[in-house]
Amino acid sequence: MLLTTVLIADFEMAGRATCQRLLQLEKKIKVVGEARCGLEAMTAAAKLKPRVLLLDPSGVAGEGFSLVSTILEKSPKTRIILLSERASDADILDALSQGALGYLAKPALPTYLTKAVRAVAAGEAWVPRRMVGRLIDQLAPGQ
Amino acid sequence: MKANLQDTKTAPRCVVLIASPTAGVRSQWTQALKDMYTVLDVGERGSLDRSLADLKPDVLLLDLALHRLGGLEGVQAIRQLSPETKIVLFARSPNAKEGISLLKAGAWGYCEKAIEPLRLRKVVLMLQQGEVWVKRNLIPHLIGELARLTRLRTKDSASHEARLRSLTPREREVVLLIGEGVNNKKIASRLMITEHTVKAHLTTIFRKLGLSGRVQLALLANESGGPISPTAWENRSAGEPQGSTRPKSN
Repeated sequence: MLLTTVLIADFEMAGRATCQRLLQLEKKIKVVGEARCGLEAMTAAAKLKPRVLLLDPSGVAGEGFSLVSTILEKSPKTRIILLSERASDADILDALSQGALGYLAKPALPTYLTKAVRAVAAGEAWVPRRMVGRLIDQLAPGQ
Repeated sequence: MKANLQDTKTAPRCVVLIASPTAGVRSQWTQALKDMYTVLDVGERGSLDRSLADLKPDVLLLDLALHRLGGLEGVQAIRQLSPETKIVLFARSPNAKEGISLLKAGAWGYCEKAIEPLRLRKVVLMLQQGEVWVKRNLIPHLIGELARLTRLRTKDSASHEARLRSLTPREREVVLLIGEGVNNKKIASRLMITEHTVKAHLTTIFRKLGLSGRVQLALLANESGGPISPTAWENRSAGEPQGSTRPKSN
């Protein structure tokens, strides 16, 4: 299997460091860059075209989720996993509707980050089971 | 069948109706579920409709070989006969397109007919807990569909282009540079104006567009897929370097 390239975008140093630490042990995963704000995430994604982008949009006031679709325009093949201290179901749905393919709560990073990166790189989604029903509700017309 | 119904009266159990034209499928699914649920099975369309209307089962496991359904109308027809019944559909080889259309129409689950007995038990359990059941590999397609619908809806609403039209050509130049991630000092030197003037432009731009900061502005600039329409460039100053740092648009 090919190397999975990952870009880490988190305005907090601690968040970036956690992801780095968890991913550097993986042979098939390579962190190709870090971004500290929305603009950096956008330019770095456009330049590096990573397979997976780990994105904590909380540093981008108000417009965090439109960042997802903007980045996808620049790098359509990048799969985005949203990271967040705690996101509501509505937030997650928002991010998914912009094209994100995964969501991970930050406290769950140590357990699931590498699994999530692998799954998403392989074309799967990484969302809590309960979100699937919510997702379908969003699709159904007038429900 | 009558004996089973009486059972449910003494100890109310979840009623599962199995519908498949294949006797083997019916018996396999029944075996998997009968210790936990009241299971009934039908092998043809006519008895399916009758059983639905009479029994109003909690769950219907429907082999698409018995009833092709044809998306929305088929699912709705079943829901009319028994509105509370949760419908799970089984295909010989499931595909994303069919799955999405059936789930959109109100189905609670979609999976392969050759499902393992233990899995099938889990499916029914999930339904009872109010969860839908789809195979993992269908989920990215569902997300893709949501993203597609969202894009369509956004296009309907006021376009960014229209908002940007309220800007002067000079202001649009500033927006373009912000979209490239250029800082105020560099914008000033590129446009051959003072940094103070750049800030003044930005204040006006934020006010006109109702934004609160440059990141929002950069997002907007990039979102509209080219904020500066070709005509906007006609006014651009002759002395400005033509080589743009704007990332190649895809």
